[in-house]
Amino acid sequence: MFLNFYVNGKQVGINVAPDRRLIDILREDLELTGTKEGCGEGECGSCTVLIDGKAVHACLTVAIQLEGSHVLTIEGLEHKGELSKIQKVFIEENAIQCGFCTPGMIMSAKALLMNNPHPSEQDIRNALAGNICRCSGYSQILKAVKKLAGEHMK
Amino acid sequence: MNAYKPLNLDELKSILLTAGDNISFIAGGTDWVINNRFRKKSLDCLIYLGQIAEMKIIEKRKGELFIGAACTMTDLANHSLLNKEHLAIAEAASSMGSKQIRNHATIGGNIANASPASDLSAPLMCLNASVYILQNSRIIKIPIDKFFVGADKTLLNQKEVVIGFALPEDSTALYSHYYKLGFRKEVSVARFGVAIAIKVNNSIVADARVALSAIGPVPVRLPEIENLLKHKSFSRQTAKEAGIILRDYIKNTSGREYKAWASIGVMEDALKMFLPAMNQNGEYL
Amino acid sequence: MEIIGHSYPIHDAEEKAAGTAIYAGDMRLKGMVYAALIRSTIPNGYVRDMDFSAVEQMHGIVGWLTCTEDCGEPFCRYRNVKGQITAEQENVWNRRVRFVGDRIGCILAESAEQARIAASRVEVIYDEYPPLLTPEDSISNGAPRIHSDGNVSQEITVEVGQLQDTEAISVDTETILSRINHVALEPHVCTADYNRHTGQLTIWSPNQSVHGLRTVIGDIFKLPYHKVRVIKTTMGGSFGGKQEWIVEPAAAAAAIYIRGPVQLALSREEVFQSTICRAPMHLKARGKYENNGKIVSFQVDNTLDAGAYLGNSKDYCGAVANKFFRCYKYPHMKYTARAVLTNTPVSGAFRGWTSPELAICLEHNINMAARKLGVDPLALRLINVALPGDMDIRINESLGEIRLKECLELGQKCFQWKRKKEDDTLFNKAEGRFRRGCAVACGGHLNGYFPRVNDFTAIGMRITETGDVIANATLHDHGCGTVQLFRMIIAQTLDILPEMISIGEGDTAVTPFDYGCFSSRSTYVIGRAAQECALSLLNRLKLVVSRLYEVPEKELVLSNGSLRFGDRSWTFSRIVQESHSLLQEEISAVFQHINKTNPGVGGAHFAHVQVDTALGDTKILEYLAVHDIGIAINPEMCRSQIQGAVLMGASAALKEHVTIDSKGASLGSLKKYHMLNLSEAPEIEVRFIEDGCTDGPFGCKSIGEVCHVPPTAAIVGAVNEALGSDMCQIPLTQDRICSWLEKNRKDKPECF
Repeated sequence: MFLNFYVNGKQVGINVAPDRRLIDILREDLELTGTKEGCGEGECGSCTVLIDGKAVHACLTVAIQLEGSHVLTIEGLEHKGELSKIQKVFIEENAIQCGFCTPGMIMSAKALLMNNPHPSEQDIRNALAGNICRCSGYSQILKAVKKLAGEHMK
Repeated sequence: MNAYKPLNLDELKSILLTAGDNISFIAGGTDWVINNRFRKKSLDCLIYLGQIAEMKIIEKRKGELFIGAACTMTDLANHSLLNKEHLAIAEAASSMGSKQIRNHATIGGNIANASPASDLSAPLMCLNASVYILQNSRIIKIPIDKFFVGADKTLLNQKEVVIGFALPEDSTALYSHYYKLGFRKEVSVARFGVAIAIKVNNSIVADARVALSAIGPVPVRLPEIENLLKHKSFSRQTAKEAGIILRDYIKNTSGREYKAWASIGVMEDALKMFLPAMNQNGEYL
Repeated sequence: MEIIGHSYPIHDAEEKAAGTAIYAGDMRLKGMVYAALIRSTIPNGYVRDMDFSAVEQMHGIVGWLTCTEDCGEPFCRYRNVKGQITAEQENVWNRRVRFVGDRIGCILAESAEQARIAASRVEVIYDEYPPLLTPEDSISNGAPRIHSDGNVSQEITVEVGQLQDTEAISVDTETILSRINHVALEPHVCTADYNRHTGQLTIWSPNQSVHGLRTVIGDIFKLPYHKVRVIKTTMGGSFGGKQEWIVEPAAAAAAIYIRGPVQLALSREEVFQSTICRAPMHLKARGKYENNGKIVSFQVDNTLDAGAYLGNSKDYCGAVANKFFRCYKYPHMKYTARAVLTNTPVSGAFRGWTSPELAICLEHNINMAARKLGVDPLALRLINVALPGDMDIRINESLGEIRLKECLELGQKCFQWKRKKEDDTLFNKAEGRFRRGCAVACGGHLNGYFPRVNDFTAIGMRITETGDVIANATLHDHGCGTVQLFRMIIAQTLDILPEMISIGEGDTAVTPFDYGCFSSRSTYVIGRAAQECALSLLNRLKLVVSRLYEVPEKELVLSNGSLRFGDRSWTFSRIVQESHSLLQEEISAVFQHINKTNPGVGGAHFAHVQVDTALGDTKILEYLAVHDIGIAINPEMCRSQIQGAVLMGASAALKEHVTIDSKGASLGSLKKYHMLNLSEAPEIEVRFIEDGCTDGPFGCKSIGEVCHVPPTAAIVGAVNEALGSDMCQIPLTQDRICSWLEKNRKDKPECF
């Protein structure tokens, strides 16, 4: 089938099998390898992207579901070479180690803050419960998102 | 593979008239991809249900609340029409999976896949739901307790589609809750799914319906617990007795030791959710 | 400049945040094909035939390799050094299959997805043999041999000291550890390329030893080592899982076959089933204690489930014997053990290399002894903790400046141990549904191989004409901050900024020989070499200034990337340029280092839990980790490593279990393998004891593995304290806890 959709603000038109996974479209067809495959079954959150403003697993989404939709990946957060606020705060707060969970974690945080600019700690834990980090105890990640939640209040 | 993205039921009907038997339906995709990625034989036809207008709505109709099968867990979790007597459905939807899963997973998919640990099956059963099924271009209505026939099995045939659910309207004071015990607090399959609906008059339970999932191949109502709860107010003793009934039920069916032991705690915690409604300040008498 | 002791983000934080960091699975080489494994679906048998007719009808299939043809020499996935004695039991493709998940071939295709789908459509005909799924099965009379030299490795017996004939009390405990998996977020992956004109094989993978991997690849394919280039890629976590060679031989075989680039990325199921897991162990311990609590002896017997190939299991099983004297001082130990082969997934390295496993066993024994003696468990540890200068009598080396006692004392105070225990006693008296308990656990480990292995390393450095430094060492950053750490060490020594240091990771064509990232040697051994090399570089700078400007070397003062003498100063940049033009010499240094010390390094962890006796759930209320770290070079990185290890250990204590079904297949999904997620992650407080007294750079000790030694033991201890139980079969799942309650709470049939 021919799929017409938007990725990081740009219109994309490609010929794909209707059951081609979004994660393969991103990583192979569009060469956007920032979205990672950690499990392929929607359990680790490494493949989290935003579709129409909602956090979803790219490994469980297929082409037939994507017509006309707006996909935002980690690569789409940078603007003219400058990292977004979320990315900068993750760096500042030492919330990045091996980095494999990082794109998915940032995208989940992005979705949360877009829909709820002042989340409570419970809101943050709930929104990011589907993103596994094996390197840390989540402490720096939580602090980073809390800092971003606070900043939105200014 | 032919791909179809019908926008309404009429389009779906005409697709089904001409499509062969080697077809698959996809809605949210959160189960579909895992089940289909390495299928042995290629599909002839894939039909996407997520854009069918009639399946994406939640609305009051004559005498019933209609929930479209393509509504996602996120749609249900915060819906204003599900925040009173049908709260159990919203709570079950909130408890399922992770945020990412909830944004895509649909109530239709959850019910049609009929996992014994489905989160939505017990609340629908408890609230006396019916299932609307598109069968041979006609829509039929089946009570939910007839819908599940075994673990992962429903009475759906090939090319039949769950369109939505009907919840009968109940005008007197009705409260419902969903309690889930998983392997961990969030992002877990259910080990117990408990859906309870009660009608209350002056802190006395006038009517009760109790349904459980994850304790057998299909969700079940437990009339013995329902009768126990009726005509009483809530006490710790009642909760314990409800737990003992559940424990004995489990011992006589699956025999799972952990679940038998946990039954009392599960019923205590499930019933505790109703204490504010019983004007009991969150405390058992 | 103050760099050491300040927190810096990981060196590639920006790329990782931007999504531009390239992991091995993100590499795209011209003409690259993708491989997917074909794996055995039976636990024991022989591949009679493989039918590719369904595959032949698919698009985009390039070819396949199978076990029906020879492919290289047999190897041992664990071998790291040329000449190391290991059991070479595996082939790249195994026709004689010994576990569900054993590699029997691979498909090569134009896309990874096509390769996977094709692999799932290969029809395999097996001769099936009855499987041996437990060590008991394998040891039983008449059990068939999984490998030719039998199912049980040579019996290990190690005894140190003598068992005195005292009036000591005996405490017998049993510890049963489940099979667990590292679950590094990045699945195992390798990109390999073979240049058919030069005969050069290049391997890119996230591995813990480029030189170790090279030796095995070279020997499998009979290539001289200079034709095998191994490059370490950005690593998405390892925890020991990527220090054995599983994907790389397969990818290399494919690259050689197609004479071009190949990428092989494993699925999560393949990581669970076909890489390595931490070995299940059955430990029986007898501790002997004097009435005053002093440990007289520990005797431990261990049966380790090696899985289908011996891999590292004999050495791993034996390593337990080396971990007895890293925390406590006592005169006698005896360790008897055996590694047993079974038709299950292969056991291998895990963070801590048996230190955590032994700690779970001994700390439990100590807790039970405390109960029997009526002594406070913390006091009992203080009585026995090793002090500075005490000897590790197993290796006959001093523990040096060990500060474990200080860890216990600081923890006791910060955790409010006494107060918490009193509160818990009061809380539990009500005999309600919830019970609370506290425990402390000590864990010790090592800093490198010494003295078991003749450990050495080398590092080189040079200064550029603009005054920055290019350093060359074989580093293997797990994503834990190694590269940044080295920049900090060099920068501090030269009084310049860390961003002025450029240092890469292991590449056998470029970086000096080094054993790799094992046994927590990177910071203590290679880091020390880096510090010494930087000093050597500084001396070269001083020498050049002294020669060119007739200034006494010893009076030159280092300040902010310059050397000063009185009111004269020379920037590094100027010194280098003048050295080039006036002396015809580059300013560089090389430092070869042999490590000769291994001080005690440890931590004391304190856990406070609440157990729900109705549902078997355990909630971690508070947790404190106190570590004797010498100096925390990058404090926030150390903190987040420790917290990560605590969560990993707590998860293992309560939830993690790679189960094997009745057909011998291990679980392969995170749906079934539960870890603690953000929803339940407790706040973990971390404190450091820093006195900088060791031979490590700036006096530091290791941290990455030692922090994983106490957590499981601490959580298990706290649960037992809460319930008055003596469980040590982990994980302590909801089921296990309720099962114990059912058997032991006879007085309260309704459980609470």
